[in-house]
Amino acid sequence: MGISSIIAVILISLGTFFMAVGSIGLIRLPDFYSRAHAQGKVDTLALILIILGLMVYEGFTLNSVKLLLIVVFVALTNPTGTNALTNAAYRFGLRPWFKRDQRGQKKPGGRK
Amino acid sequence: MKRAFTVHTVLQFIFLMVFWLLLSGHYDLFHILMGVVSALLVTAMNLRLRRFHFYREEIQQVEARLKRQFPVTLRPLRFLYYIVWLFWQIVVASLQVAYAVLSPRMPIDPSLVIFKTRLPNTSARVILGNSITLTPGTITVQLRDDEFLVHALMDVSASGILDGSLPGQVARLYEKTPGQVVGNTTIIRSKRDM
Repeated sequence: MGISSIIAVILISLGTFFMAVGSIGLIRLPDFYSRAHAQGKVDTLALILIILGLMVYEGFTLNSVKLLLIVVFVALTNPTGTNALTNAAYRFGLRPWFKRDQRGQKKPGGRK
Repeated sequence: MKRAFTVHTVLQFIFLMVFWLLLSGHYDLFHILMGVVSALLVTAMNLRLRRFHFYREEIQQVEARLKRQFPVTLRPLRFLYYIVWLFWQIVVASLQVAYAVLSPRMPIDPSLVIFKTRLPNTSARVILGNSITLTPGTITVQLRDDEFLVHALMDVSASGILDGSLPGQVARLYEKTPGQVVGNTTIIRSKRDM
């Protein structure tokens, strides 16, 4: 195993970790807006890390340039999609969950 | 204006062609001709779309260049620095959000932040809006003219916007010494304040 494989494995493992965090957040967080954070964003870093790992594994070839293009397009489209979702929710009139409104009510993430 | 539009169309075609060559990896006559046809098709489909507002500004910039004026445009080196800087912000913010999600108490305190910005053009505002969304912990919910509406997961997530560092970096992509970029900040913390 060369040094590039080791770096690739580390990067991809980190990426998988953030993917898992995103999925856990999707279940634990209280409302639509905060779930959009977990789902759309932690995943951004995860995807960038995984693809960087693949690029290191692949070496400097045309394929790694294509992988880099995937990163660029994900970085451009992912926020646009998240913005479209949350903007639609906001226009529909969905109000965010606030901590201050929760006094005397059950905690988020607790047993339902 | 007409000449600028043509130049802009040619530039778009060249950009698409380079993109095709990068993706295809086959450099014989047949595949390159197919690329020319597809790039032409996409350019033709975009012709009408480009008469609308977002592109109009871009075309005006091309026009100013043709007249040997120097419009406020993106500074390439600064943009490279900005990408690295933003990546670092994303890493830091991801760790904060990961901590908040995994911690049993889940220390989140969502808020809506409304603020106005003074940025030179539409592209700068779009870059700022997308960068805010790309950084974990903050989402641009709405962008109307100069006014941003941002949902922040924690106080620490919104701090980069409120102290003006992220908008400042975006403004510096276009101007060497921008003034005060963020103003009229309102923070909403409960449904009653909405």
